[in-house]
Amino acid sequence: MAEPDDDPVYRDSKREALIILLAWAACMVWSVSYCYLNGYTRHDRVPGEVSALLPTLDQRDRTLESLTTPFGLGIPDWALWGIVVPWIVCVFFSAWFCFVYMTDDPEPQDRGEDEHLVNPAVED
Amino acid sequence: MTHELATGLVFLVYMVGVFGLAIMSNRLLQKKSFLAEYFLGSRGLGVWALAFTFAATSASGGSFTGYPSLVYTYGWIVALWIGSYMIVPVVTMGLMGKRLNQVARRAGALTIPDVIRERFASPGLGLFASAVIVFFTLTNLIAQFKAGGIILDVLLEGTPGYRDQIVPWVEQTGILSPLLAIAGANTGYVIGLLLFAFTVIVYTSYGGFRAVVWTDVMQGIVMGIGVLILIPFTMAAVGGLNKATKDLAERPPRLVVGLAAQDNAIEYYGKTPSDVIIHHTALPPAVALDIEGPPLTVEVLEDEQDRVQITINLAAELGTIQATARDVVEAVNASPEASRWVSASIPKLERYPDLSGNGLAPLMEAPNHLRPGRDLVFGPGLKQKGNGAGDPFHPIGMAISFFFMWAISGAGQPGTMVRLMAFRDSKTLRYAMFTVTIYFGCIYLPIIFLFTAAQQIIHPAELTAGSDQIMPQLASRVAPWWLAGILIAAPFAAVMSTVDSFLLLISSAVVRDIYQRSINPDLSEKSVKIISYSTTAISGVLVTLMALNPPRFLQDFIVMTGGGFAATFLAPVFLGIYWKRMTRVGAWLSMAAGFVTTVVLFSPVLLAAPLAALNISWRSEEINLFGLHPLIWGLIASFGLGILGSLASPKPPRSLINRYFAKPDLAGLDEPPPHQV
Repeated sequence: MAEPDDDPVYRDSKREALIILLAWAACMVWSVSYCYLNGYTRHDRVPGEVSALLPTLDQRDRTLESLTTPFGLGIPDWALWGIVVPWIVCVFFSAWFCFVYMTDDPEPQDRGEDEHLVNPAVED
Repeated sequence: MTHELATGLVFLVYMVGVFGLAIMSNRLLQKKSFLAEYFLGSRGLGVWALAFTFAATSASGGSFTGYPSLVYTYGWIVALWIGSYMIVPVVTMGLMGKRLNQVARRAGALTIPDVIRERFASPGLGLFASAVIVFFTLTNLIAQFKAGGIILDVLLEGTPGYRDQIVPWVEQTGILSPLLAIAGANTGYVIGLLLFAFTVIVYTSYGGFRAVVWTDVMQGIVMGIGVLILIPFTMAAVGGLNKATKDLAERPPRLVVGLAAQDNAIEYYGKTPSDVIIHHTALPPAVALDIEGPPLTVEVLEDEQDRVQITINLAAELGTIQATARDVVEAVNASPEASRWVSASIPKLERYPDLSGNGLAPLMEAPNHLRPGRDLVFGPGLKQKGNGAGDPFHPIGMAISFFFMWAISGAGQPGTMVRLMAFRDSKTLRYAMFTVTIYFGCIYLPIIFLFTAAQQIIHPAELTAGSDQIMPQLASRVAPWWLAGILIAAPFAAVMSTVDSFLLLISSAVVRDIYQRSINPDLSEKSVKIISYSTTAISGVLVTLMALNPPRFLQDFIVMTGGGFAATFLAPVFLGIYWKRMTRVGAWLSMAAGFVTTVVLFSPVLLAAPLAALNISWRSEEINLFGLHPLIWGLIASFGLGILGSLASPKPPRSLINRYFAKPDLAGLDEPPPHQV
């Protein structure tokens, strides 16, 4: 729960951390599920492993004949849409996050915090 | 100019650069507060320094050896394996960067154990954190030094006068005899190790954190440019990525038989697992005595069902022979019939376990399996080596795990976090974060394109020193001499940029966390300097001596370094800086739970060698509960117990919360830190 006396750096960082975690989760869900569904030749359901929790996906098993490389780039379709395109989207996300969303908080040294650097070394 | 000479030249220029930067850094060191400058660059890192020290520290030697090797071996599925790097810079730098930097300033912390000790007002926690850092870092350093020695030995191989004059001179004079006796290895490795160790110890000890950062910048820029320039040369050689991917997909199936020990299976042409059948037989003693050379011979014939029968005649009793993989390859290649079926040699001289009995394959854990071309353009791929050969390389559980492994685990590495305590201001962090995003995109994506295409240029049989050599081999094959020189030297630079950070991590833990803050706080500035320089140097020398002949049990710990660090440090630091209610009890439980969970799940790896010595059969792979990597369980345990422990214990004192969470005017920054218990 935010309190009125909370430091602005703490408040802003917490908000930014939440956005980052959401972005990471979105990348994972999209890339792993898209690549797993469209990039695997078989979808074994191994007892005792995560795969056993998934529904049967035999109809999605890939064959060599189904491989395409969109736009003639030479990148397999699943890798293009599951990894390369999201990677490019992430570059744009990073630009937005770094240059638009993330705030420049008051510089720490301006508030004198560095003066409290604990350095027990005794000057000669 | 030859590639060898070019490599030597690049290496020389690199060395001059490294020492030059160390001298400049030391001059700066004389003008600032020693400890803060030596271990943290006086919290003054700018955009480029922060970006490249971050990138170079993350991109260890593996980025230029192991990762290209994986792409070359498993093809496009490695794109998913590395996929989380799309978000790694934002997560590892942005998740905690700004806040950790602030807390470290308020705490006056120079190291991660410092942060933990101050935030939870607990010297004991700080000491525990230091001990974990020293232990894991030390074991990892030994492996990195060993890699550095091997790489340098290979680098110097083609330098005029090295192999035919310097090495023989060293052997004749006997100046390295004691070290050679310890190492039990060749002279070249010992020379390589000593040269590597001397360089890295001198510039790290002398220049401190800033020298490490500046060399990281130099290495990062050179490596990045090298990879980018390699792209057009490689694509020209294969006729474009489209053609390379198509050829790869349509490559005829190869049968991989679990004949070799660990690293490289012999590949046989075949269409089903029963196409090639291996028999082992023991020759009669009289015949065995007459055999010269390798202690085995090979006969090949096709039977009436068109199967290939390969019989390996062992010149010793079954179950007792210790033939090397190379012995097998040489014997197979000596047979004209066998050469029709064997498509690759075994580069590494690995011994394979005692052969016994007859059967389809000598190792039951490494069954025969097909590797069709489509395996290289689709998932899940097949493991090519070790006990799990033939199992899926990247099942869904591992695909999920590796998103945690690179991004989340990366955020929890002390070597990464300490860099987040060193930047100048949040504007620096923002620009550096975007720079690293671009940099990783320019490195990791092209490596996938390059090394899937490399399958069309270099056959596995040509990699006589293993697939880790694929980058220098590719560069030598397609690039001009100067680019090849840079890329051949790249793994060396990458190992160095990881080692120097680790060396400072150990040194800071010993000098700052253990000695200065726990044993003798009244040190003079002069004494601090002497102890810092000497601790860094002595740590380096100790690691060098251990790397001469690393104890087996230490090597086993290396596999869990990354996971162990993240499971131990991420939760207490993350919760400590974002959650006011996090208490000392919670932090203790969190660190202990993460550490213990990781060790328990990796225990099969750790116990394999001691139990094997007692002749007890034991699995040697980590426990992947529900198919998920131990790191995930370590994080669950660490976060779970951290939260529960905090809720179950009394709230932290108000003064402690104010110091790290309240506005500056209410934080009591003019008062000494809250009382340590």
